[in-house]
Amino acid sequence: MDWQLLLGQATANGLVVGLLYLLMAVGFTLVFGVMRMVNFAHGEFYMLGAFAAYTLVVKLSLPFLLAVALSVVLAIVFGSLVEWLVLKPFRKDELNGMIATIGLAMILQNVALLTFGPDPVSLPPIATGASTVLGVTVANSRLYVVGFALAVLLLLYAFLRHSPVGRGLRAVVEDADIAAIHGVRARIYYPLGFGIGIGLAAIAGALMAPLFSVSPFMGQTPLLKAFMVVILGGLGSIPGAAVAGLCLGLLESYSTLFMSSSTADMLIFILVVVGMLAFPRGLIGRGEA
Amino acid sequence: MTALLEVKGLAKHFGGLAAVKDLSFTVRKGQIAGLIGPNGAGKTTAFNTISGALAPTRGRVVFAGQDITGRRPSAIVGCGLVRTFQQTTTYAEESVERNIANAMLSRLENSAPQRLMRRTSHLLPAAGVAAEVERIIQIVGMQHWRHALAGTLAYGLQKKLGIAIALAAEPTMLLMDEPAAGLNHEECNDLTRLLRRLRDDHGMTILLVEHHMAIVMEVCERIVVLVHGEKIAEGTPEELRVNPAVVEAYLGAPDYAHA
Amino acid sequence: MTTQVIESKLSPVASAPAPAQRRSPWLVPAALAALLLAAAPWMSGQFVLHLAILACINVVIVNGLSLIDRCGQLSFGHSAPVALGAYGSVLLASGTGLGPVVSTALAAIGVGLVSGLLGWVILRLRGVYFVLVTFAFAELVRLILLDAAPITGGANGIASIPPLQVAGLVFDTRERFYALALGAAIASVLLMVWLFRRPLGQALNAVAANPTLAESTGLSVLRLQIVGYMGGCMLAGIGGALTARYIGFISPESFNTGASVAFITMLVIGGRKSLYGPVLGALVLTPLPELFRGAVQTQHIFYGAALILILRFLPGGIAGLPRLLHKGVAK
Repeated sequence: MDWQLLLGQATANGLVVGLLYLLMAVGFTLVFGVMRMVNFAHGEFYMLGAFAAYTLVVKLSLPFLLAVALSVVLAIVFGSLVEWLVLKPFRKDELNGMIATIGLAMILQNVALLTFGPDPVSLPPIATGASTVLGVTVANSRLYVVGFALAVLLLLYAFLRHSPVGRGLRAVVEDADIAAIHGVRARIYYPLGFGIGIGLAAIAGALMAPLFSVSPFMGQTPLLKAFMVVILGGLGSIPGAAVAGLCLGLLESYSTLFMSSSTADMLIFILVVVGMLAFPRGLIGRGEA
Repeated sequence: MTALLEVKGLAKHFGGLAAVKDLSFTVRKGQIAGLIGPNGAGKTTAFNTISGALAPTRGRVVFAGQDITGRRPSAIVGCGLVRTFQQTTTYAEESVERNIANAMLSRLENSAPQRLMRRTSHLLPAAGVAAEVERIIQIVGMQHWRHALAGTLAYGLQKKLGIAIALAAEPTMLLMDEPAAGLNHEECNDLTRLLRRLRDDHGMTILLVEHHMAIVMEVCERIVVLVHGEKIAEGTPEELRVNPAVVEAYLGAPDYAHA
Repeated sequence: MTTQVIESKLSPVASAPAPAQRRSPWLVPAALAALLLAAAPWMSGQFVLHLAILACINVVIVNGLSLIDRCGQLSFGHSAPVALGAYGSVLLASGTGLGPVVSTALAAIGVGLVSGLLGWVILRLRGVYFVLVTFAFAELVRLILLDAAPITGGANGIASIPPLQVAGLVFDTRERFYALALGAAIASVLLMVWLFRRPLGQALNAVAANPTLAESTGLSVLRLQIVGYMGGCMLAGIGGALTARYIGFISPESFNTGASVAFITMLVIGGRKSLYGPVLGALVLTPLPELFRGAVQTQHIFYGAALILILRFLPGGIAGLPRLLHKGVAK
């Protein structure tokens, strides 16, 4: 048993999956932070991002990177519209907002089912062959995906840190009332926050589309993982979601070396619940208790 | 007179911030005592630590001889120490009578709530609830509003209802969090009269946390002054009026004196 | 004294209805209609009976969800106790040879214990976290059921579940099972009505309406919510056991997030505030698939849209309609 090899592979896999979880979770926590809404439709936007990429690449023969970029733009616009038209009445209403997003998820998933059918489809690979990074062999397609994902994260970081709109968004996440006093117009930030939040989910979906298969049901598991990540990282904490996302991806990857995936899931669930009780504000301690 | 509430070396830290440092004082049975201090002095934190809403970092709280440090609020209520809230809080969609009756649920003999909370003091038979509700309505003087929905009452009445709800839990001692906040002149006088009635006619011990200097000076027999989490003085109103540290830190501020 | 008199004259105050309520003129016709509705399936053929049985089982399950909701926490993973009750009663019966009734009772108790333990841990959490954890837990249960194939049959589930047998009476026809299901549904409604008249129910209401205040009057929010959560999960478990005995087949897919969502939808559309909300929700939503005649996707789109519209325009659900109409008429 070449443990080094296995460990390396597991780390590589864990990072790819962890990046996926990170994107999902940061988007999810952003939506919660801005609108105090637990978005049960988050997984469906992931799925829509994947289908958007699929349609653009397979049906319109666009290059992958362009397809991803377009998918994201479409997702942000679509998301903002959805928030403005459908979710506006529930902005301050946590519980009913949650239930409304369940309705939204049902609608989105079944529209996808009607449009694309239930069978999974796949995209052509975006790169062939494999490279060796730090002694670990990784498929080139995965490397590209990691690269794109990191680029997106850098853009997001720059946006949140340095652009006035991004800073306004962070302010609203931290404390909407104080942000309002400072002139941050929450009315704009609600659709924007929602759009960007689900846009991140769509990016994740679009990026992962070539790696996994695409079907209208693909959003369920990432949604669940997003939940676990934000519980661990603290609801409303963007850094918390980022760290916890990577940790969860790695943890899952390593644990499948030793046990069946459902046992791993069970242990992780127990870990998450224990973690939540021990660190009510999240691993980094910046979310809400 | 025996000590009913003893706070010994109470301290509460939030991360690096020490909100309350080494606070010790005693409230005797049948006394009306006051805890005052400027904003940020730590009064609310001390209050929440005594009432069980927060666990103290250090120190002990002893009530009627029992150590209640760090116990959950619902357990402390069973010992006889009940708190009121600074902001009006009621069961808004229920009547005043129902609000008061709800506060008696853990006292109902042989009921599931009573057994669940394992309450043994001041139990009521189910048939006695109506009379008890009436008795409390009479004490606070809310006869005209007994069927009113709590959420529709004027602010002053909601605060009175808060006191009634606390009384329904049959306390030996009341912890009152800024009972005068938001009350007008007439309502303050009403409050003062009520507090005296509770002490004289019903043997209630009361600890007020308050900003409203006039009420504190008028009705409290003993006052503890808190500044930046530390006790800087303790004594009767007359003693504190001439205490230079207190005057400088607190009493001097003109905006605290209501007419 | 003077101030009080002046105050009472100046501020008109909303009164709770006087204790001796006038009987609503709708009470008798409504009761008769309910009776007719309950009796109708026996005269309407197998298909209607089938729907009626499913609706009654849903009433039991959604009443369980309603009980949890009335403690101030909403479970987004209600399919979990249903699954545990279903699998529990079936496996106990086949594994130990205990009769179906005993194994159902034992399974219900088991579900109560598991949910009590889970509740003790997770009910300390703020509402939003509680929602996420119940959702995750339900998925976890489904995954465990899928994976423990040697015991649970995995993805293939368990088939050929023998029908319920009580004292020689075999419930193997729809007519008979409907009687059982109807009885269970009525019992669950009566249980809720009875419970919320008693101190325990009033304490649950208090805890849901204002937990901080309730805690300060000597009611432990955590303990009361655990009791409510256990009760709600046990009702769900009984519903699950009934499902297993009626359909004769269970698999993890019968208890996925779609099921949890369906229960919440029934509760919300029926009306969360009313004790009859679960009944209305189950009655309206259970037969609905038939209207769509297999166009499952369109049906679910309709559910989703209905959910959002009801939340937006009719927060009291269908049960809130009479009051809304009454207000409209009064204007």
